[in-house]
Amino acid sequence: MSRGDRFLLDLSPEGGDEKNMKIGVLLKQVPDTATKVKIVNDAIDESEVKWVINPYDEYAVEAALRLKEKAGGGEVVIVTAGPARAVETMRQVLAMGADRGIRIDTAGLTLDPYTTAVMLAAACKDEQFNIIFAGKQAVDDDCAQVHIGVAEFLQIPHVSPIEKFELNADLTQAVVERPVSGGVKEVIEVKLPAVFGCEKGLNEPRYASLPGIMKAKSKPMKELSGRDLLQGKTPLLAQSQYALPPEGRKGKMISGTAHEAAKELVRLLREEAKVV
Amino acid sequence: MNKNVFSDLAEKFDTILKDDARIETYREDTMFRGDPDAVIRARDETDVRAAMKYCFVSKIPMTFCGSRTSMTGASIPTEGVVISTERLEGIIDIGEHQGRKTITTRTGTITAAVQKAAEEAGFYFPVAPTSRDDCRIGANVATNATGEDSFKYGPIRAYTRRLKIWLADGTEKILERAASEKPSWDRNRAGYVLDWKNPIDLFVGSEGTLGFIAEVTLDLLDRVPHYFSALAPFPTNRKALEFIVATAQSTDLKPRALELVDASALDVMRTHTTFPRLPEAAKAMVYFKQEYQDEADRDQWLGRWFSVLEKASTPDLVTAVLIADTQKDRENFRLWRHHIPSTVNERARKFWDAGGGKVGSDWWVPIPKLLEMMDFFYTHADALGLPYMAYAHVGSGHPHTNIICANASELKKADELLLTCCRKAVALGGGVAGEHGVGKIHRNLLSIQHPLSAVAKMRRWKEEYDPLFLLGRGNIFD
Repeated sequence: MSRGDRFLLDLSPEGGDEKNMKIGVLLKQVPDTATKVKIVNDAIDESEVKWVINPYDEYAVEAALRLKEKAGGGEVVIVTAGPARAVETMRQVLAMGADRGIRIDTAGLTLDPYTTAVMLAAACKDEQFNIIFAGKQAVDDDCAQVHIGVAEFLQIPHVSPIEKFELNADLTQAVVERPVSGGVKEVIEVKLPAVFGCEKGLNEPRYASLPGIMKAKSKPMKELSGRDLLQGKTPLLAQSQYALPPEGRKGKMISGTAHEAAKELVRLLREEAKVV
Repeated sequence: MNKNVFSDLAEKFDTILKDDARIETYREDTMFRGDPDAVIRARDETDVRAAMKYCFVSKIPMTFCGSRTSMTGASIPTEGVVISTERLEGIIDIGEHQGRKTITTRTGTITAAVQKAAEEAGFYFPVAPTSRDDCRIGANVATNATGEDSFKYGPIRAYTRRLKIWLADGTEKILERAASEKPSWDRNRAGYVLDWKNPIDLFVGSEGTLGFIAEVTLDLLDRVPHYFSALAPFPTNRKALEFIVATAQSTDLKPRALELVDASALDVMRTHTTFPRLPEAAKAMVYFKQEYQDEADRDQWLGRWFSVLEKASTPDLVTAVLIADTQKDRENFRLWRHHIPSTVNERARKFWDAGGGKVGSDWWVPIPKLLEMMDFFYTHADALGLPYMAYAHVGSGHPHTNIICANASELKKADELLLTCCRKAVALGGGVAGEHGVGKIHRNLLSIQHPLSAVAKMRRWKEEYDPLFLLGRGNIFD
């Protein structure tokens, strides 16, 4: 496959079988946003990083699980590209209710959004998903390109970010809502299969249940070679240098209930900032 | 009191006087509205000491306040000055003291900041009251605070190694434990601890009545343990309570926290915007935390808990047991838990003008007596006909019961029930004020807990350290 090649999904245009719907979720393991980023030898020091599910991906997982529950059947498959540690994040999603996982091993690879999308698209092609959910972006690099690339390489539509999602009765089309500037919402009808980038507000992600966590251990997890899926493709982006942003003015977090916080805010504005 | 005295204070210190609207902030804690004559916002320890000396000479009552998260009016005076510790923040040292890992901090440091500093240095400080993001460490010592994790880790007394104290006249006193000394893990009863051997134990839990706690040195634990939090739904309060009692007495299960959220408290918890949907059959919850070494250990614990919950709850509710194993999810669980008192306090505050409000309890009983005590409370609370709930450290026999009163007449009835429950708790071998202290609004509980001779003994200790009764006037004693 050369750059710009497309995969073609073979899906019946006659409508889907609700009970056999195959739902893909693109998942990324990212550093907890509370992580203090340290740069050592021009690389990010990962030794003290706590790894979590990309928060926007949690909405994607929830959307997929709700769709399966509504349908009364089908399969939710998570696909992630990452090193061995990503398995931990995958287990968390399996504990939430996903059925199985595919990890594309990226050990030793230098990646960018393009190569990541190439690998994920290749894995998704084999799975022949009816629909793919992803977070609208990952909170580590904030590129917001990978899921769009996946849709592009699969030659299927994508909409991102979405705040509402509904599937029509014959499962051939989704109606989604996308915020645009000025508080306006676009309502878009999309033919399936398609990729959707999920935004905060789409749903409230669930917590893993105790039985869910226990079952997650025995759910199937497949590993693919990122190198094989890339077929010689190389990144289009290169990182030349890492630098921390200049320190800004220190903010002050006010906690407590609305009543307590408002009272404290007024006090600070009056006594410390001396502006009221 | 002579107004000129306070004007004079204002010239010496950063002072808010009575006619300044900013004093309003210092008139209320969570439960009580007072009337300070002035507030000294100490810029540093030198300010505090100088202010104390001035007040001592002028015989002005002094009340110390941190963030006014107290539940008893202990940080709000009805006369005299407030000395605020809010600017006295900061860690002094993390190191070794008598061969132990310790943290030494200024009195006004926020408790969560103490925990964070310890964690960043590779240690762990476990005492965290629900208000840990707001409350201050010196005030935690002054009330012998506990918190969610006290089931495993006990109260702050157990970690208090050394205190720097200033007495009412500004005299400095260093109180510290011998390396071999093992402090008590008991919950408070009421007033000063009676069987103290080291005066440091007299000052822990003394509610600002014996001296100003200027500096605190606390023992640290070696590591930050991994843990998961869990919310286990139950079909009835009784089932949840039976599970708690069985767990607390179990030799197999070793939770770090073990709390009840009863049916009415769960109704409040459900109003939190991010609280998940639970099965309708869920009428009470048990909130627990379990520490583990590694993933295999975690899986074993999950299996053990699943097995006991299967027997104690119903099949559909066991399926709905929620687990939080990431920092973000655990914090959400904690916020839902914190949502109960903060919502109730906000609701109750609306009735203050009508003479109503919240009547909250702090009594506790030994765990074998818990079911009897809770039956007693629920029976009497039902008869009262006012909105009520019970939640918190029930694994230690220590619920917080809240009764919401719309007016003064309801408040009187709820207060009577509180006294009745306190008498029962004492009769069962427990205490009337496990962690909040008695402050001003629960002074009457002192005589329920202790015979007159014990109260007289406490008064003598008070006179010894503060002969003019200037410190924390109205707290503990009339």
